[in-house]
Amino acid sequence: MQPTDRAVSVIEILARHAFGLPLSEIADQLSIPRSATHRLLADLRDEGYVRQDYDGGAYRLTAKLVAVGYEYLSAANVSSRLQPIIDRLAEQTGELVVLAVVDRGKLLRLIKAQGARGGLLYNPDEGIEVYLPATSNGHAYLSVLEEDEALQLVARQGMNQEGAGKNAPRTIRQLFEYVERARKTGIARIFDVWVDGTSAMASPVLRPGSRIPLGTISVAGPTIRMTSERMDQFADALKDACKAVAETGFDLPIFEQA
Amino acid sequence: MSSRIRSIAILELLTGHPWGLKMPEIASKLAIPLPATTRVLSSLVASGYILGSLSGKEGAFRLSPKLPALGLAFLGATGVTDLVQPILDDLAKKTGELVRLAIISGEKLTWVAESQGARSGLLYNPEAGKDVYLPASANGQAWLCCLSDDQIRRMMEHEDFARPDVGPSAPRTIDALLDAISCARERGFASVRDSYTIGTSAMAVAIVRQPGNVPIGTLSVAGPAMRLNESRMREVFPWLSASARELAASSASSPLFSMI
Repeated sequence: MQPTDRAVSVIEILARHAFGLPLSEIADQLSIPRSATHRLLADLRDEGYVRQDYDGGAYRLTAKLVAVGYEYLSAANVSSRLQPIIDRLAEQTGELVVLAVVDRGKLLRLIKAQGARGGLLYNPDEGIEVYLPATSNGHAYLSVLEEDEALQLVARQGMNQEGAGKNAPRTIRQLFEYVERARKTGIARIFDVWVDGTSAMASPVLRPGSRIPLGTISVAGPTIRMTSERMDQFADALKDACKAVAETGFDLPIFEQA
Repeated sequence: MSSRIRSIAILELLTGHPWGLKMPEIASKLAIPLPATTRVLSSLVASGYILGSLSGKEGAFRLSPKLPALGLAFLGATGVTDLVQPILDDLAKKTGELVRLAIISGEKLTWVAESQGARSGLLYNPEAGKDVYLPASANGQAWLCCLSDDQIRRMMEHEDFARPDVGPSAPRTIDALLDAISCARERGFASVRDSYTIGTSAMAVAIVRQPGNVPIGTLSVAGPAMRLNESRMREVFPWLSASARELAASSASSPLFSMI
């Protein structure tokens, strides 16, 4: 197994610590000497990826990582072709919409749009990879896989992630009851599963003319607003958005190619 | 770029080539020896940032969605001000002047954050938390630069150009305002002197979200007119633009600016 590149590791570590980390802690996490860590951080600072609040202070990421990711989405025509679809769904629903894409058995959150304009906002801090057992995106993805593959992916992540909501499935059997319902209706729905007080619905984006999942789209919000009646109202808009992303986006480089 | 961060150079190069590049192309564009290129690429493939096979000679290497997803995750983990404030602080430190961020909401521009760079001596610090009077301020003019003359006329239809609480150089007619705007469009930034407040000058640019070229706010540098003069503004301009681009990027694909 190839060791992960150190510069990339530093960025990953700092992305997990939005408020920054002192040099010593970064060095410890990388298991390399402080002097080497210092040189690495100096290089990253020269390129604009990290900043230090003051001499001897904590290092933190700048917005450059976000900017570079965004440049890529723009160059890959994702911003022009897919972002408007996600924005429109956010506007129609007035809730948080997320597009996640399939990357070798993982589901990565790639585009977000917040439709809520005030009052209660749901804007969770969720990390890169979708946790399949307790999210609507995860259930929607699992619902279009063969059972064997679905089981493998769930086994890889485990079912014990801390902090899930009170209705989170605790066993494979419970999880597959959710997945089965999603398979039947084409839409995964969860209430108080990922985070208590929030609910979400999601549908898979399928490569046109096939059952191959390219990604998923979710709509999430506070449970007091995102009721099951409201989800019924959003169902067509969500499925339309999935279809639009598949048809206008299936040949984009962010999706696994056939 | 330093050899310690070749991986970053490769990732950056590939953001501009979404369909990928072949290994020799990557090596030659970045002037990295082939063996080192192979080593870094295989590490990036193993950690999931790059898709491609090292076994075939002809295949291209391209970014996976992991890098933009990491950016989005970071954005989710940081609050608005945690990301915005350091950008303002940096610019304030560089210029030694007052840096202010205003956000467009509807037809208004509202001050939301600032950073004071001047540590002592003559400071300019106007009241915060109110709406920006568009015609007389650099921030207002920077926003108007993004609109057509017709749109500006419509927006200014009910504006009181005669209001007494502005400086002597504030535009007093719509035509004077349009002249200032056209001048600002030509220079790339808006600037005022003795206009918003007597004795002060300010310069500003719009923060424009891509795609769609949507202006979402403005960023300004303001200070005593004798210090922030024409030649100083020309020095400050590239820093101001870079900070505005950084702010636009951090607002991307996130509710940042609608949440403030």
